[in-house]
Amino acid sequence: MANVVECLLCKRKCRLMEGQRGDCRVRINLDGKLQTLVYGKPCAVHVDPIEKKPLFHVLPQSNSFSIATAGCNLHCKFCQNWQISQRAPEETENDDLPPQEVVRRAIQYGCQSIAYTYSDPIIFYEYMMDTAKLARQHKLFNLMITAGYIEQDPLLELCPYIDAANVDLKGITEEYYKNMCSAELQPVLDAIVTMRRQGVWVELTTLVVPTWNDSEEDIRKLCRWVVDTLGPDVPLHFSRFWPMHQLKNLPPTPIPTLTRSWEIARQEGIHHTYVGNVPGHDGNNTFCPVDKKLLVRRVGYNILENNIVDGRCKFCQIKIPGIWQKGE
Amino acid sequence: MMISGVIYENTLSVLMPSEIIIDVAKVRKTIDEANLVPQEARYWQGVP
Repeated sequence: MANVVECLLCKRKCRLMEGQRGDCRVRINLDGKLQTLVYGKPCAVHVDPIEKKPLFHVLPQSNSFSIATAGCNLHCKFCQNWQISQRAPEETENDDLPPQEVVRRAIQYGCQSIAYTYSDPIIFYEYMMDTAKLARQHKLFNLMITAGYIEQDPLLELCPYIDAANVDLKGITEEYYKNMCSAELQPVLDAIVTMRRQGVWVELTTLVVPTWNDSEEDIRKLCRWVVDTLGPDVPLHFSRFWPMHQLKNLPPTPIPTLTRSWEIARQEGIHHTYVGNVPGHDGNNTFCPVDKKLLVRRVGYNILENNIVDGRCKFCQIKIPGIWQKGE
Repeated sequence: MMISGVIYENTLSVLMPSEIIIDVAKVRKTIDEANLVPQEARYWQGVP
């Protein structure tokens, strides 16, 4: 048995002596083997509306059985789930929920999907994978809400079981990822491209942090990358930052900043762009990219008006990208 | 359904907060005390 193991799940490639654990806090070298400490041990379990992920173009108004374990392979200064993401599993109260029980409860609670979320499901990869395979057998959708900091091989093995993902595209510079998240941008960009190529429905979320990634130049560059690389149909959500964790010195994102980001995205050709964490903002809604008519009116996570019929704009009949019902 | 943990996702809605109360242990437990069961991970290699 090797005394030192190297984890190959993410770019950090942690090398661990006996007894050491990885940067994510949940993978550990025990007896010369890399082991996961969080298989079947979520510390957060909840039923959420799918719009909360946020996923606005997937099974609207359905509920998602959402799970997370402790740990994360990023360390974002703004993390809003830091109480579990920046903790070892010995520091959280964990449930005993093997994959079959996750699926059973998802069905029991009337959910159409299971979401691997809150912290980052990449670090509970094995638990996510086994649960996703079972969920697929029971015709439940699998949703991954992730920062996308994963190596290509494990991602390629996972993609066939993931129906939709919301990926944090936190910023568009390596400097931002290094200074804010202790990570790298390029692996995330590669992961997003791979997911799209593998047929995963992808929506992106950028948390707009005042003074860090909110310049017009950065927002425009991010939008251009999305359009040039992925096309205009990948939804992009701009989310409002709230002072949290290691950035309590900053104010919440000003609403005009979010509105400007939303407008820049539309100028750059993104068909579906949204503003999150600002209830009542026009950016909560979906508009037809052709006739500009209001398609979906939302308040919070509730849909008040829906003019998408059979996946098309009710008015001009253009196809609106998304998975509007199972079987599409 | 709620078990332990306070979670504020990055799409917190003031209209529909998600409240999951987390009891963070004041004293860090051992793996056994925390009832964690190590299982072999995927995607790793031994280093000579």
